[in-house]
Amino acid sequence: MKTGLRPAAAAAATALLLLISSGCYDIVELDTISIVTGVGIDRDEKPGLIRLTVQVGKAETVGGGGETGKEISEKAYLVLDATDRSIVGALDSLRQDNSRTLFLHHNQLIIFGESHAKDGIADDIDALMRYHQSHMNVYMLVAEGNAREVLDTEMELEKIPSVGIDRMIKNKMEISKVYSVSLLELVSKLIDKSSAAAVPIIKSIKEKDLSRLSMQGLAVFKNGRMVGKLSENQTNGYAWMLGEIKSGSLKVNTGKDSAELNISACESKVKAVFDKNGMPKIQVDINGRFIVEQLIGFEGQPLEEVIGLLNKVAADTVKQVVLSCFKQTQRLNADIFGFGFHIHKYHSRKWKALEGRWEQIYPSLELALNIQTEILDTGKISISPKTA
Amino acid sequence: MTIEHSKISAGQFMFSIACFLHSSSLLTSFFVPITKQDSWIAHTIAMILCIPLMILYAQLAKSHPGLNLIQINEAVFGKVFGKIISLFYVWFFFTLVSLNMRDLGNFVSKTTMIKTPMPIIIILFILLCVWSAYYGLEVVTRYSTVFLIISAVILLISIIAITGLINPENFLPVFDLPIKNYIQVTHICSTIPFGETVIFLMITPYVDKSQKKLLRYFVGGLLIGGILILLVMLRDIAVLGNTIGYFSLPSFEAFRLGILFQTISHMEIMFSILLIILLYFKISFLFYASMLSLSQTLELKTYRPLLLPCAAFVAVYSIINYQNILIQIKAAQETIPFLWFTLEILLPALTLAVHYIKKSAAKKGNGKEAALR
Amino acid sequence: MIVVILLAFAAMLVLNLPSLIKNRDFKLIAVYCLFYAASLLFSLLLAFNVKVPSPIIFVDNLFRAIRLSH
Repeated sequence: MKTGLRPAAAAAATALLLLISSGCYDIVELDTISIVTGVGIDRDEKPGLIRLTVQVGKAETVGGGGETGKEISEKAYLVLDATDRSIVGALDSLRQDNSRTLFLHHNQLIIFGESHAKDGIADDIDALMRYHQSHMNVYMLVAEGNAREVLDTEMELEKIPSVGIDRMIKNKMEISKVYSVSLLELVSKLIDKSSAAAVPIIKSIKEKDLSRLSMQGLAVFKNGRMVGKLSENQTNGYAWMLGEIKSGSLKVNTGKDSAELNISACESKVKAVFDKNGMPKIQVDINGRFIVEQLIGFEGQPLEEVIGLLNKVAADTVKQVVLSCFKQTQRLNADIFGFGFHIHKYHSRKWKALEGRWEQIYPSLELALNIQTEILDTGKISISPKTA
Repeated sequence: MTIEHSKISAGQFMFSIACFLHSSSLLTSFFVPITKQDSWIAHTIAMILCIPLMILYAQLAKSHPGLNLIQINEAVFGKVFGKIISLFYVWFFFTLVSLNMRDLGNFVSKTTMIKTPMPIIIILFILLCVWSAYYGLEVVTRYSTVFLIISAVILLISIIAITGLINPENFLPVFDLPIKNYIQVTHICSTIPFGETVIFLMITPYVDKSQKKLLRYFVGGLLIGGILILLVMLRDIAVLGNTIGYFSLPSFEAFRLGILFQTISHMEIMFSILLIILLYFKISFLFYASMLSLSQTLELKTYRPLLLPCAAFVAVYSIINYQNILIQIKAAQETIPFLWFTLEILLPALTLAVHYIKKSAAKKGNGKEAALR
Repeated sequence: MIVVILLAFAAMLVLNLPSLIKNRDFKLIAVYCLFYAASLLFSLLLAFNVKVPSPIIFVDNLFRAIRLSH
């Protein structure tokens, strides 16, 4: 080993390099962060201000729960809020008043309060897209009332409510994908000037001493503002129109008898047809396949007749539900189905003429529905024991 | 007189080109806001248009076997003029190193190490490049194959992870934008990733294969690298759709959305690792080639003592060049394609043209002499 | 920051100077000093927050002036 200044200097330089490259500037230890699991944005009483609520999960209380006989009476989560002109300002003031820094990488939900949604969320979306710690696959929800109430509702079976809400959404997604809207989908619809977005509504219901959460209906956003709601029935129509139903049930009525049908599959195809003036007409072909779950009545009728009747009645019911949803969107002048976007994609030259006038065209847009239904199965029995 | 004595295999050469090109998949944010969902079309056109460019480079290498770019300049243009043109190339290569370094610094400080000051990231990196350049060409290009395989595997994993989010309708509407956007992006794509392969003319003499067969390795590297970037772009457009024009790092966002087997998510760290590996390869290669070209132009016996001061110079240069990322993006979209065009396409074409003119003039001269006798 | 820069440049000299002087290659020493002085100057300027003109912005403006841009 050569001695002298040069090897010594090289060794010193290498040691210094090793020290620097451990990245100690950006160290984040688990006990210095508070993990945010849900974010809520409400309109504050003072005009021009918003109230930001964050739900923070406590890592210690969720982990070890294997001790019997000991009551864990403390909540596994914490709700903090701050008031400011914008989301980023509120996050800043939360950071100042907290012993830990907020860690938003694991945030799963963003909930807008109803009144704030009516004011407009476009500025919040701007902040959320720029903010480095926010991910584009968080679920978006609108709270009926205040977002803070929803985030502060303790759930029976889940320690941290946001995780519970996340699981609720995933459950509802088993029925249809329309019940989950990620930030990416919302932004995609916001950017396109002709489209409107439909975001699930969640509310906190207080029954006697307990409170629980329930998701019902969709909130319709146009140009970044909430303009109306779709009821649970109309939400079904929305799902049918998009062909996004994976399971669920359909109640059909023939006047004196009724039946419950389980939806096993559904497809829809949208086509735009143009008349000689260049005005569009939308043609949607919906194909639904069902399994009979329950027959109520239908005494003394042969099975083939019942199936035929059920087919017809199912088609009528679906048509009614879809049309009810479509008419509501026409009243709100909100193209949540993306018909304008569809014309833009598939008929881009014709769209250029229609683009500026879509606001006027949509409320009187003609829709031709063609619904095919098929009953695949009748469950474990075919003839009802009642007909005996 | 050559400064570099080691030889590399033709496969290493080809994979070096492919790795070099693939590292530019980070730079898609330069042109994606212009053509949005049609970016892949412009990119494919640029890739095809650059095949004749590879033919030009291979011809240039073939016309002067055993000479690298700087030596070819001197042979064709004479000592004085050749040195002037070589100085342009040297400036170009050093600028490339510093710009890529700046990209890397921006990327690391924006995504992974937010509080670390950028000069420290740049200095750590350049020292690593110095270390590999110290040992010469073979070391610099040795890991190209490995890096390429790693990046292909990570790319494949990411595509599997986002299969649930792909919407084929995101590619429509096609050809909806004004034609000048497509021309601009084709121009950008052909000069910024693909044209920079002119730097490989510095190492063509050290490839262990006959100079005549170089074309297939040039084109092979171009296609492999270009197709990998195309896959990245297709993946990003399929996932992000019309929102792609808004993000400054679209691939990063696409990676963030992917989920594997319902448990492995938030995989953006793999993207960061991949980009750092690929950019390391590109920058160390660029640094090595600029040192080689500098010492070749100044006719020095070796470049090793110059490594550290040039590294310091490059580090400082990269901070000086563009203080602000918005100016950098605007320049990359508007003026850089033209500047790079002159250095990557016009100059080599001019060199080849002059070479042919000289050759035919010499032949005529010989013919005349033969006729006179 | 300035101390770090000066230390780094001093370390560079320590590492390289002995072999440079031994070889007596004056052209090499001249180029070395050129790059050394340039990078030292610019890094100190940056440390003092002096705005250094950037060559590529200069070329950028040149190309815009002759209308050679998109």
